[in-house]
Amino acid sequence: MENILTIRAAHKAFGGLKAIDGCSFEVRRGSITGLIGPNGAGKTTAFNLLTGLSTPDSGTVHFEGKDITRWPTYKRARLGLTRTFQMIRIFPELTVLDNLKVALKDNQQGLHQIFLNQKKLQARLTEEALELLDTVNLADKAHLFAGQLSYGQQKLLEILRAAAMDPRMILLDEPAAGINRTALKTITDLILHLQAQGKTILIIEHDMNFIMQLCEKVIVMDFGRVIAEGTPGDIQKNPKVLEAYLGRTAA
Amino acid sequence: MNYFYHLATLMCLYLLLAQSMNMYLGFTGILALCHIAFYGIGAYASALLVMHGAPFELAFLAAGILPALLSILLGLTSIRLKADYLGIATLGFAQIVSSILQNWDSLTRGALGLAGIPKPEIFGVTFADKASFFYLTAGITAVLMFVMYRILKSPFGRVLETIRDDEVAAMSLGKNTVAYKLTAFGIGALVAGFAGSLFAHFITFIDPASFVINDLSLILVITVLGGLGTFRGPFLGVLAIMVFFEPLRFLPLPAEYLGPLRLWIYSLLFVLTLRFVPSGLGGLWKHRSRRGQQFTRY
Ligand SMILES: Nc1ncnc2c1ncn2[C@@H]1O[C@H](COP(=O)(O)OP(=O)(O)OP(=O)(O)O)[C@@H](O)[C@H]1O
Ligand SMILES: [Mg+2]
Repeated sequence: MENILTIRAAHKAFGGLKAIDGCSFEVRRGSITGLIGPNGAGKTTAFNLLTGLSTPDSGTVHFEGKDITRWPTYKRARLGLTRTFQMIRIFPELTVLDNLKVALKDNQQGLHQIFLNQKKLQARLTEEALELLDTVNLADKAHLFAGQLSYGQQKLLEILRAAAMDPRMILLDEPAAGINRTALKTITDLILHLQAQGKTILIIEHDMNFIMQLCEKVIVMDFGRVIAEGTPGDIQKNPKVLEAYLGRTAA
Repeated sequence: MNYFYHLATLMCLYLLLAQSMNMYLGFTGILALCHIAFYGIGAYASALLVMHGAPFELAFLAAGILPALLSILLGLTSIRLKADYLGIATLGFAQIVSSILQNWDSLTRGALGLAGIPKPEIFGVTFADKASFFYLTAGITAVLMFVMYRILKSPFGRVLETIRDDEVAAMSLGKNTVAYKLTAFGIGALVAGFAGSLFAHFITFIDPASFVINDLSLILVITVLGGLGTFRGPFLGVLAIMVFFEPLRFLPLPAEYLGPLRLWIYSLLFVLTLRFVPSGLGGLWKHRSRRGQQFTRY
């Protein structure tokens, strides 16, 4: 199966506002794909439909060949589809370490497991979490509350936490927004590292350099539907794309 | 001495109530305001069963299971609501329970209440005097607190905390948050029901007025003052309330002033805690101890 994720003819309206209006695209397995478009184009709403935080009025979502259109969010995540958020969503009152450990696949989190002796397992999970933190140079922050991290560190932690689940695909909603240069390099490296592990990445981002540098394919949305797709080079030259961006700015 | 045992028994009951409320309110972030109803259902269920000839052991179990089942039914209909709506829906539930206790005369004897509830008898041993009842209560409390400790400190408990911090993120990590929330709510109701059973057989008289919103406020104050979302919070809260407020009883004031005065002080304490130390007594300590673990200065 070439494509891991497909959304077909999706519609989603909020009152009279058609946030998603006939949106269709697919994402190739193992790729890093960009999803761009002017503010209000419907990118985040599309992510919400893909991850089940909202359901489309019509249209379908397929992941790994399964029709997941009406699946709850947690089931999609268990099948291997997870995401990060435009507005950071970490667990501020848990430690940085625990933020990652709760996400780790092997953790035994059932009620029936509370009397198990988990010493060894937990020690191993702590090791794993620390290793993950080490890849982004956050290991020295492991025992801080996540809420005490800086904005950029919280963004990193959120991506790392998604990776800790060992998903097949990660949707990143503006991972580079409000990030300084060094952190940007760390995030880029992390994303490339995740791709090297065989994961598929879909990125919403306004930072064009970031998109051009990472993505093999770019999908452009406007008014809730796809208006263009292609290689970064093609997209930059596409008159429709230029119009979508410039038209908005002029207005 | 009897007074000491009496007080110590009550402290155990409040500890159970506060910790079981803390389970869903403090650790999971479920703003449900019907704990007193679970307590009342447990008390009535246990008293009625024993008065109709059931053994105490069975009545005690039923006193936990009945509110737990009801909490799950209530949760299925309302746990997806936003916090403020959930608060209102659960207050409504508490009101309904209270009015059933008032009005189902043939079963509950309405406002007259149930008098002469027998002392518990377990394997032929009767826990009649204050001292033995205290030991029974302390034993049961210890077991329940231990189980709740294991729950809250386990990976299961950690997931509850992620739901409190950010439910959408928890879902996105594959946690079935609705199931976790129902479980936490159910355990809270279960333990509150157990406490209700002990209360009924301790006081030997219960009426609907024992389970109204006023009494919820005491549990809430203990939980919030002690520190929401910390295991030690309820211990600190119960101690603080007993040390500072039990002496009020000895003030040379007529009872009709003492009751409202207490309620007034509880409310004030509640508001002041939320305003100035929202993490409560236990929370202060938690942050300090965690800071000690930091590898680096932040
Ligand atoms: N829950 C909601 N209720 C009402 N309107 C909504 C809701 N979510 C999104 N919208 C509207 O839908 C449109 C698309 O929003 P969306 O957040 O998907 O845009 P976006 O492409 O992510 O924009 P940005 O680049 O600014 O993040 C916007 O007009 C937005 O105001
Ligand atoms: Mg957006």
